[in-house]
Amino acid sequence: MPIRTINYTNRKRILREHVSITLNERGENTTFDAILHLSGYKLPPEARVFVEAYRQTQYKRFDFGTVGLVHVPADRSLSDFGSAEGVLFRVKVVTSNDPRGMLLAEADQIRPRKSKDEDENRMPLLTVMPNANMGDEIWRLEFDEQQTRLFVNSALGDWRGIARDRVFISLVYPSVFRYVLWRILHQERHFDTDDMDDWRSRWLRFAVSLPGVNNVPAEEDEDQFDDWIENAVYAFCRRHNIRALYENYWTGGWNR
Amino acid sequence: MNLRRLNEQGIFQFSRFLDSVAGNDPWRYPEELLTDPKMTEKTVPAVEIERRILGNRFVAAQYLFNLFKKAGMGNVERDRGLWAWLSLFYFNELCPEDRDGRRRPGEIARWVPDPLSWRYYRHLLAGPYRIYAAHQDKPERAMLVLQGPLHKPGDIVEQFAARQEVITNRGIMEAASILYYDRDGGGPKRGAASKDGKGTVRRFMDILNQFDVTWDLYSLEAPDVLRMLPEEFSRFFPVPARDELFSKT
Repeated sequence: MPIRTINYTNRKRILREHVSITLNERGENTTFDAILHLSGYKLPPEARVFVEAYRQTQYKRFDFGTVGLVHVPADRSLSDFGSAEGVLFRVKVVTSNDPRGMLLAEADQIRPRKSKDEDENRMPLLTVMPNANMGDEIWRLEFDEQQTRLFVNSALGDWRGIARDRVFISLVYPSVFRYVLWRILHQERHFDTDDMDDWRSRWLRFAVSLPGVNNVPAEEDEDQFDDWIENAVYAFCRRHNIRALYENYWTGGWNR
Repeated sequence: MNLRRLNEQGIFQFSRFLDSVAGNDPWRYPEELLTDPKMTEKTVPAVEIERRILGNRFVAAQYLFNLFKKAGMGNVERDRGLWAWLSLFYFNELCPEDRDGRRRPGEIARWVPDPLSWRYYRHLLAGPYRIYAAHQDKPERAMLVLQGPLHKPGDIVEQFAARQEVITNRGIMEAASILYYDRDGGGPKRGAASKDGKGTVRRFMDILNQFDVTWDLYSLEAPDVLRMLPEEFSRFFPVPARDELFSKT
């Protein structure tokens, strides 16, 4: 998808605090509520308002009427997505005519709040999702422009339980962390830690927050990338007592 | 035969059969799996389905869409067991022998859909069905991605179907079909699927990404999209040429 950096048409960026999306989860029949505060943006009242839910390439669009007369659609179901894990939202305000469809204002990558979730600003680094079509693979990591997703083979049964299992955590998560950092530095060539809307910056910031991890190496210091990554993974394991988790299992500290 | 769906055990057996077909010692076609009560379950309501030559993606999608609609079967898109059963049922057409007498089933997503993944569109039957359903009021507008034999969806389908907001977008799909679908030949126009060159499908997707920064693509209709395309696309415009087509609007 496009790099949204050049703004030739003066479209406005709707601030996150002016959009609140809440999920109402009922099994796979998840719906959402949206509260939009658009009055401060001086948008034409006849401009159309759309809320779009998306995850990777899945997409569903909801017509919320106009700026002057917001109309909340009755059908706000996200059942097309199956599990709503990892679904993000986008709010668009567009011209209704002449020209039709020009973007006037937008908020993107809005992470919904779960109705039971107290912390509205929580932005998990890793979205864990089920996948029944993984054959003999247990887990798989996938990336898109918004987030990192860890798929767990749901043909095994309780995929949430697997993701929380101590053996799984101790063996999988350090590898996930190593690969994510490798990808960000070597493949994405991303070094910024300030843009908290960007999943790569959030991961890097998390890494440097670990005890003993230096600042992210500069792009020209490629020979330092791998050492920095190894150090970050080491610190991650230490912080989360990964060895003890596995040792407890291996030495029979709890049921094997 | 009555339509059924494979259960998880049936899907596992089907995938083992596909593995064998891909290998050097292919199993015989497991006809009995289609009705095995331990591997399948009945659909509600019961639906009679014909084993017939479907012919191409459009006809297959149309047949299945009308079948499900007439039977009142809703929410079939995410029913992986149903689509797995259907792909087993039509296996002979979906996986024809090549010149060497070998069948090459390809990746599992072509046979058992993953409803939560973009690979869903790779399913040889659920893919065209879903496109047809999204454009049910005028399926011809998506002809570019509904043409062609079932076993070879092709690169053009891959380009469009990988993004749900594109494949379900009426204006974009109609514009793409106007540009790249050869009505007389019944397939994509020559050069449309080239990996490089001016005005190709790949370039169309690039341009859409640029439009997406400024425009709400879902609000656009086909003439809006066509009018905004740069000159390089003119070689794919049908006669009358672009200016004649749109100068009066």
